[in-house]
Amino acid sequence: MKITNITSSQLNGRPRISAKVTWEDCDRPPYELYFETEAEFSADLTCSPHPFLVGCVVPALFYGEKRVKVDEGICPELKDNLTNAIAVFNHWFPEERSDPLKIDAKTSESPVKNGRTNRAGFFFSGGVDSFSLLRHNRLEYPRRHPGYFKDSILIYGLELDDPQAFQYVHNSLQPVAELFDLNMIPVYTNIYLEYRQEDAKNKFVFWWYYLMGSALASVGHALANRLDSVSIASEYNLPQHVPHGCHPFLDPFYSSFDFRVRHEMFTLTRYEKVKLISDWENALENIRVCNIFDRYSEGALNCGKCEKCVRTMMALLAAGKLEQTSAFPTQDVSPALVRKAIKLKPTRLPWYYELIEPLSEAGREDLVKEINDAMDAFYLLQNESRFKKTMKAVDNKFLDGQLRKLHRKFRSSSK
Amino acid sequence: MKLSRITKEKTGNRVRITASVSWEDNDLEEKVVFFETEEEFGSGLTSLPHPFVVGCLLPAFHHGEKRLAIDGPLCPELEEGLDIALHWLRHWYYDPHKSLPVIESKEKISFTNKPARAGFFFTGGIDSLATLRANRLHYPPDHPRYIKDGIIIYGQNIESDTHPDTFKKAVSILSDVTKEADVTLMPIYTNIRHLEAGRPFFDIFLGAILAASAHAMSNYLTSVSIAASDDIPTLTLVNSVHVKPYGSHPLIDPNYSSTDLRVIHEGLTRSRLDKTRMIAQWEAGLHNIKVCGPNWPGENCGRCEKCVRTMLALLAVDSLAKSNAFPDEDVSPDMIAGIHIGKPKFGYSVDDCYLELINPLLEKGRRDLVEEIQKLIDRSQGRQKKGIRSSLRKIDQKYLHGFFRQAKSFIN
Repeated sequence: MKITNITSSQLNGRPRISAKVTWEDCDRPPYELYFETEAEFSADLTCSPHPFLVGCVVPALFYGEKRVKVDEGICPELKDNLTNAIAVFNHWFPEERSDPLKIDAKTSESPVKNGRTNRAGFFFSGGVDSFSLLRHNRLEYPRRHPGYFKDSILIYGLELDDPQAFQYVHNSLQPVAELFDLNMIPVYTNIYLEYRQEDAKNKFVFWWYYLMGSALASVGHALANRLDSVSIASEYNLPQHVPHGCHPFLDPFYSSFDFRVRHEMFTLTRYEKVKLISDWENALENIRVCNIFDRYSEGALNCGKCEKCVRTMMALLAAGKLEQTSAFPTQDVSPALVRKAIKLKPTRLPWYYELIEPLSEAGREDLVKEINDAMDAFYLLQNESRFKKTMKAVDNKFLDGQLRKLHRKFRSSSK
Repeated sequence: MKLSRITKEKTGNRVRITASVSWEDNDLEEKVVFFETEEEFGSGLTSLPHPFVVGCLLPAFHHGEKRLAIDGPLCPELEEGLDIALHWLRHWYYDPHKSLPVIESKEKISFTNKPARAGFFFTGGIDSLATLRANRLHYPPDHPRYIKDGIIIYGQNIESDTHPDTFKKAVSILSDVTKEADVTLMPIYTNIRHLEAGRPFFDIFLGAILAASAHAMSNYLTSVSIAASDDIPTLTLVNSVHVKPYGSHPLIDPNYSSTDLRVIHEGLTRSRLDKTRMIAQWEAGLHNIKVCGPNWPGENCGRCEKCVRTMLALLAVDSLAKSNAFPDEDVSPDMIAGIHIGKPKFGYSVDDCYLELINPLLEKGRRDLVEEIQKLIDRSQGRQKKGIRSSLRKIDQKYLHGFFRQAKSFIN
């Protein structure tokens, strides 16, 4: 893969940095990767190879490129770190490669920036994770500390790629940001749009297992003229973390000497995060957890029916706070709603499990029953499936599919 | 636990910072903990409580203290990182319900904006020599991460040779290596390990000891590199019954950073053989390797497991005969037969370090050594047990091409 023509320009009144990405070892067509923002942040866009390199290494790895070549000099610490990130991916998701992906770039003599800006930013979606990260930052860092968040970043082009929905979210979060002494910086990028359609057919494996952290980090690097660090709010807590694309072990490897990527808030469970923000009125009123974007309208960003909304509503209920927020269409949760909305996966189990006790203490045994029923059904399905899977695997590996053939014969003869 | 009376004072031709450590929830006696260095480096010692916070927190946690109260200011980034480090360490080593000590400080401090200056920990071992070599190969001299200072600690490896004269001699020898690489070697003397000197705890405590020593010198340093013992494929990321992660770990060490001082865990993509190969091309490093378990920082005995393993690696890269660091210029099968590597409780399995030597040694025609290495690995994995299991294993291997062994690992 070659990254060339790194330039800054203007498009429709917005400043942008862009680069041409050309694939060398697969049939994908070349494309222009860009990062754009609003005019007032024009000076903050960093026309360096770093955002493009960080944003392209993981796709290059995933699609089997032999190298990522950049003609401009890069930070030696970033080069070392990206080499670490590649090694982590190779270890977590081993594939048949003769050689690891190579970063083909010379290192620069000095850092990109002249000195620190002493500004820290974070990715702000309005969800429980990012609100709890902000809350924690405000509780722990004095205003004069370089780690005190001064800027929040809202990204168009990752999960959120509907312009109208993006505007609703921006309109909702802008006043919140001002209230919390933050600048809100929107960034528009096609870093994932290039792959999204094809990834959707593959259950978003590429996004979740590979690209997530590096995509966020590349957006951060695009603002390195302004920021010394960017924080990513962890989705999972420490025991829950499994190898995937946004991980406390991986994300710091997207850092350069003068720009740090931090993965935070993974020592708290989701319910602990809900409790952390539940006595923070402005957060409570402005939570946005729903990813069903076509249900968004101005001022109403949570559908109140999907799995994520219902789970969050239950957490707020357990914390005694659902009635105090108008962020959701209803201020109660019914067993029927839970039964309809709950969709268990292994990564979601701890989030439900931790609600059982507080819901019980809150006198909502009806909801506890729904959760327990759903978990029982999930474990039953897992156990059956695991046995079947094991037998299939044994048959394939040691018996050359004889059991499968026998089963087919038996089924066809019994018909 | 309470940290108080943090002072800086001159003692003879050294300068030291001290703190009084009082236990609140244990009957352990109050101690005065110190970090000390030679007078010429004394201005590098900080007056902040950070070295003591980082050095005392894990013993406080280990002994069930409810809090760590600090009579002084604390960087919020360090406080945050220590909380994360404790969570990881508890997840790996302790009961998940063991409570974590609360850190209480008088105030939160901001950033001092010092000029950038990079340091690293130097023992003369393969890992730290490779860290320095890699730094020189990858970072230009004007880059803020170009290492300028090395730290060598007296008081950390209390199981090895602790004679002050041995340490003094080692500092002198290793200073020649660092001078050649344009690095100033600073000795740090500390008794921090005496808070909990047990050997098993050391494997959890190591990263914190190093970081605390670096924080002691944070008037000078803005970053410090800790050489990785593992590379990524051998790194233990999750708690395992058989091999626990080592307490100096890429998930732990960076959490000992403050805004003023970054702690970096380096060298994760290089195996031990890769590192040996790098050092083999660097004469000063090659002649001054110090790996010996019993004798560090003294002369390499050439007989202990670590010495023999390192000699084998040097042999594999055609450099053992060129090095003055070991008493012998070759390795005999008897030397391998005489060592034992038990199943590790912490960190990586050294089996991986031996496995990667097999092909290079075979290419050099050293089948005699490879056979002994195979036996050594078998011994370490308990594969030489006598009895019916051993016989069945042999039958499986000889007549069934390992069918049952494969089936067992597949099912597991």
